[in-house]
Amino acid sequence: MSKKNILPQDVNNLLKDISQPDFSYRVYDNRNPVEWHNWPLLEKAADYIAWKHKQNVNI
Amino acid sequence: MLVLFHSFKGGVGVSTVAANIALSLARFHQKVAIADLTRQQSLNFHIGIQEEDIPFLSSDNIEELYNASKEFEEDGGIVIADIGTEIAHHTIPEENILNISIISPNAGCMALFPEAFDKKHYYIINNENERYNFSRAASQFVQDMVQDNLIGIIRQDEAVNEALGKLQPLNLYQPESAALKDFNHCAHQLLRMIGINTSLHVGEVADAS
Repeated sequence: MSKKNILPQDVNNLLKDISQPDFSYRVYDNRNPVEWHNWPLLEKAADYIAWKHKQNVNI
Repeated sequence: MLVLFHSFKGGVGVSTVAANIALSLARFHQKVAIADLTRQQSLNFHIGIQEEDIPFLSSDNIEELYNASKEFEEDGGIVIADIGTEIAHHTIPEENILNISIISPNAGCMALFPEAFDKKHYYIINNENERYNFSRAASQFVQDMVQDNLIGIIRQDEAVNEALGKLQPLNLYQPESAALKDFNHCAHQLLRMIGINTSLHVGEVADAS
């Protein structure tokens, strides 16, 4: 794993240029998309949402 | 702006979040009113012990509340309404209201989430605890699903409960409370969303005074 990958997302946010006028205010950018895949309930929920989206069910 | 706080599952802290965001807005010197459309009527319990003077709009349904709040909104006022777990059936144009859904990162809430997920709604995750594996994963999951519709995350903080138990305002009972910071953050984000620019720092200074 490269050094960049093990850097926490929060630190990455700090390194962004916050002086930009269009800088996103979101600070909750610490998502780790890997971790929730370990939980079957969340996997099923994600599949269901994807299915609804595909079926064009109004979500 | 009429802001409706609701949840598809009970017991996730809708009243707590709605009340504390209303209080944060008041501390940011915003004109704010509250309304409670739930049977429990617990919003007043959260607001009642606070020092801020927040008017209470009384109404039986959202249409009635919308009409009652119009005058208040004309001067840039924000109406925070707790509608609990009721499904918001109304005929008000979508652009005139903001729907905020409160989610708790627990298994029961996650099981109901796909059915209730609405892309037009905004979300606040309440009672997140990074130290618990499922709570952390569920929070990440919700963030992945709702993406930019996430207003903020309220960390699990016993100070909220303790302040109520002491009948003291949270900002006086524990000014350094994590949840208080998160409520302020969500209120600030809400203001940005409805086009009111204010400095979070100003609010914090006001807290200390």
